[in-house]
Amino acid sequence: MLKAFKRCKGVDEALLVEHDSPLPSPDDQIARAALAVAQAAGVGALEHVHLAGDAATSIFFAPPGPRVMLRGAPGGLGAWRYTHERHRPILQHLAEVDA
Amino acid sequence: MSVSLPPGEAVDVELDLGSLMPFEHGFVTTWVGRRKTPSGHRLVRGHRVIGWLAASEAGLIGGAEGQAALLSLEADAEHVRHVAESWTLGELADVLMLMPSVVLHAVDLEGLPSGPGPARRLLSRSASVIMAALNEDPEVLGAVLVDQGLLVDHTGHVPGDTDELAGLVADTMRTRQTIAGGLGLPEEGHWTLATPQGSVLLASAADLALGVWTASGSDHRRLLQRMANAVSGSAGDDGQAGHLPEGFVLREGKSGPDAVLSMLRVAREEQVYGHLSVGAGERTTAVVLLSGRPVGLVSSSAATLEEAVYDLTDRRRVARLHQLPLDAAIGEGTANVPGFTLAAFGASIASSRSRTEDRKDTLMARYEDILGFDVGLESLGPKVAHLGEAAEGVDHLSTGDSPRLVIDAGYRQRLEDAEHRMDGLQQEAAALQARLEQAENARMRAEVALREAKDATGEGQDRLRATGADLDQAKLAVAEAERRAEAAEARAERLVRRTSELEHQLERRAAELARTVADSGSREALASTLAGMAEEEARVKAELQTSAERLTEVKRRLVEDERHLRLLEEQTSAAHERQANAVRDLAVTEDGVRAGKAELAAVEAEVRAARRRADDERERRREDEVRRSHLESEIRGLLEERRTVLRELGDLGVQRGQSEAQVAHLADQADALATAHEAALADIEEARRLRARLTDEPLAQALLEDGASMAALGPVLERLEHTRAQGYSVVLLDKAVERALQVIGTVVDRAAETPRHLLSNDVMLLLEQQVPETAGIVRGLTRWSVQQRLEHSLKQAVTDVVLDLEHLLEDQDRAITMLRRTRNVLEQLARLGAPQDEIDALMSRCRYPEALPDIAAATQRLIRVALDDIHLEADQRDAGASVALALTAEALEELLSQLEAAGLVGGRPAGHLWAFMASGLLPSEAGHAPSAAPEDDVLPLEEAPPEEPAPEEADATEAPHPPVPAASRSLPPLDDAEERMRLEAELAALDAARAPHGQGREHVEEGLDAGMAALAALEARLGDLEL
Repeated sequence: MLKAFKRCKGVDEALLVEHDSPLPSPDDQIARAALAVAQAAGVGALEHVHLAGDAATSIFFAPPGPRVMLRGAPGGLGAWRYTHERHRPILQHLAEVDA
Repeated sequence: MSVSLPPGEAVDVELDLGSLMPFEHGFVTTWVGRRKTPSGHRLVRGHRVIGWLAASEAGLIGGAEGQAALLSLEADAEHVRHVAESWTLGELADVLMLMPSVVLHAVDLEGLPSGPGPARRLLSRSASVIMAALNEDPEVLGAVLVDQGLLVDHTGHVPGDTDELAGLVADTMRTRQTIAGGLGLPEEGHWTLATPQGSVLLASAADLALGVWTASGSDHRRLLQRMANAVSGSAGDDGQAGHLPEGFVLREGKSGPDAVLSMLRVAREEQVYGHLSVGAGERTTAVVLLSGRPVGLVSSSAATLEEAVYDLTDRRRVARLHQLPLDAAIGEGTANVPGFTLAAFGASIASSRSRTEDRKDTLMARYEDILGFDVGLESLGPKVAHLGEAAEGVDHLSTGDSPRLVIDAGYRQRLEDAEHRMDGLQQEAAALQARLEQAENARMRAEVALREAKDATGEGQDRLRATGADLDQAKLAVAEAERRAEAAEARAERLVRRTSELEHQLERRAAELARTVADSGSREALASTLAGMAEEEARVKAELQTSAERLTEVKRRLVEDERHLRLLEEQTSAAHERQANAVRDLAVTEDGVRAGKAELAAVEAEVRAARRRADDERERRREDEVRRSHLESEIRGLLEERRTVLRELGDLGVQRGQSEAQVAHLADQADALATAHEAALADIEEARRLRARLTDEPLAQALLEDGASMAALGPVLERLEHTRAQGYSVVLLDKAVERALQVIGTVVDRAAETPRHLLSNDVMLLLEQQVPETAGIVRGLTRWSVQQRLEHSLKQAVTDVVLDLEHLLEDQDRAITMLRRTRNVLEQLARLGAPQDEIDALMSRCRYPEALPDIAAATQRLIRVALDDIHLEADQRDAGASVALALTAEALEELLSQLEAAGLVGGRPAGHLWAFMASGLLPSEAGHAPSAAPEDDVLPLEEAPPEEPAPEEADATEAPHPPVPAASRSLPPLDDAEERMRLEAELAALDAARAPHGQGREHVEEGLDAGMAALAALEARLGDLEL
């Protein structure tokens, strides 16, 4: 799975953690802040956070599947999201197998 | 070679191959003689034969050739048998998808249900697979893949910013879906935006949208089909081998061969996209199902197909039929059990847990009932694979001797409709013919009945006449009997009257008897009279009785005759009625016959008209096709002419622009020349004045005599021009030349400053007035000093500059070589999947050697990424690809080491060119700075360090020099000519040592050091000169 994400356009770093485990800092802060904002805004379950500047960071939430953190060059949001959506069933299955 | 098509439902009707088939879709197999293999097949769609497949010695042939071969075979054979089987439209589509070239006209392939459309099948694969397929297609210029308006990936050249195009494609596809929904059209399909310059294909599936830029006239339907076929079955990242996600469980139950077959039947009927799994966790065996069709086996423990099937049919385990969402990543690549085919899978299911042959046959029959068509399709595929290579001709229709023309789908549709209409009319004509025959038979029967009725009528009339005669006789008899009855009645009346009269007479006679009792004679007479009268009475009574009986008999016969007459009258009326009915039926039948004949004539006329219309339509179509071909050729000619004209117009425009630019340039040049001419005239006048003044200036004289030293720059300038002609940027070299000219100018300027240090003009004027000889000596000495300094300084400067420029040129050549290698490596990186935009940016900068460090750094980064990818993917490739990639990786690593060795990455690059680019100083300047600076190089004569001259030089300097003052005579003698010759020899040796480019700088520097030493010695000797 990591290889599939790493092969994605612009991705320099890919990380998978369990959905209830914290991400390394500062991505964990980003995730916590985003979850808080989503809860405050009442938009429902948060699925995706994308931060873009000189570099870009995306965190995908698909419980019970693992959280996926991608970091790399900006401009690859579509490709990152497409890759995550395409592999979402396998991610879910991985979580089920782990459970 | 022969081939059997997948089985269908048998058609048990008599076939008429000349007309439409009695079944909708299917095929007709031709069996010749006692051969056990079929000789060919006709493929039927919509009751029409649309495709031909024939077996020949060379192999299977299809399409028009197959049609000709099969018809020829059937014509030559003595005994030909045709067997038809019917398919569903989907089954026909599956067969035609394998061998589309057997169809005579591509139009007949339109509208076939081929499961998901090609766009959906293409977009169901991963983005990398889609982009790779599009990138390899020669028709595709560029493509973007968009997910909900966000760019996923792009390839090739697209006109504009990819992110903006992604948004535009997504908006356009949303608009298309809105329009399609509004018009009641399905979401399947694609849009083609065609322009004379190119075409754009827009297709979507779910949230994904694809935009493909192609050349003008590209067939996008074929392109999509080709792409979908290209990506189907290709190794991609669709699923991971041995991994199957869970899904919605459609069926669940104990496993076993029967249960597996039952679930396979359900999966086939429900078109399940998922898998049929047995067990869970570590011991899982599953059949991967795509649209209900098994495509592979996944097993965590079994290594062979038989083992996997044995595990799959274990009755102690639970089988589950899983339905997955369509975006789940499963496919052929998910299977990990080798050797899977549908036929082998069915045989394994039948035999894995069966002990008797009957059981095997039963299971095999059940399997073939479920997947027999797919098994046939699977075996058909390899046999007809070569037919697809000739698929180019399916768009063409051969029309006699004319070249192949592209047939219009509309004409084809109209022809098909006409054939259907003709067949319907023929069937209607046959029905009417049958009705006509029935009517004719009815007419014949009616005529027979009429004749019979006429005969019956004659007989009836005869009987009527006979009955009339009998009636007349009976009437006569009745009249006679009545007459006789009347006579009898009259007689009876008379007898009654006679009886009454006799009774009256008897009474009277009895009275008379009583009176005459006394008379005995008269008594006897009376007694005899009475006896006579009694006898007469008895006789009359007997006659009366007889007459009464005869009257009764006559009356009875009269009643019988009347009854017989009524019966005859009834028979006559019935006969008349039957005759009238028969006449009426005959008239109706004759009317029906006449109507049938008229209808038949009308139908025949309509058939003739339909045939005539069909012929006319064919003729019109042929004429239209010919006309259209002419128009197309004319249009092609006109387009070619238009392109030529446009090209000429473009050339003329370019020439006009160039001419205008040249005219403007010439006008500017003319203005500049006019200005320059005026300035030149002023300069000439000024030069004339300056020349008059400069005749006394030593620098001018020295320059006038030693200007040839500048000629040493000639070869370097030629090399510069050659480098410029290669098309690479020579900005650095231009700057180096400018810098070299500045250095030379500085040298010349500093050499010109020397006289000012020597003596001022005022002192020279005073000296010339007071001591003309001394002034002449000083002027000559000054001139010689300047000349010597200028000569040596200029030679040294030119030598240094030439060396510097040659070094820079060599570095430039090395940079150009490195750029070429880098360009090749970038092309390889592009083929390896490096980001195209970065590659394009770097390729565009490969003409600028000054950008080599940046390019090298970026290339090194790309090479490292590519090497990482190659090493990461090394275990996923086969042997050939691994060897090729190993060579590529070796080449990349070699370039990487060269880049690192050249210092072009990770630091300051080594070389004169890069030093010059960094500092702006030539290498000689940088090497001698600050002592090599021109201002430091020129020292005042009084400050020059004293130096002991060589004895031989002192002797040699006496003769040529004029007498000098006492102070100057104390100088050691100088042999200028010898010194100059020695310096020139050393410089020549230096030039000779430097002549082959690339030799070490050490030799040149040694020569220069020697020259510098000699020049310093000369300056030291001149520095002691006192006036």
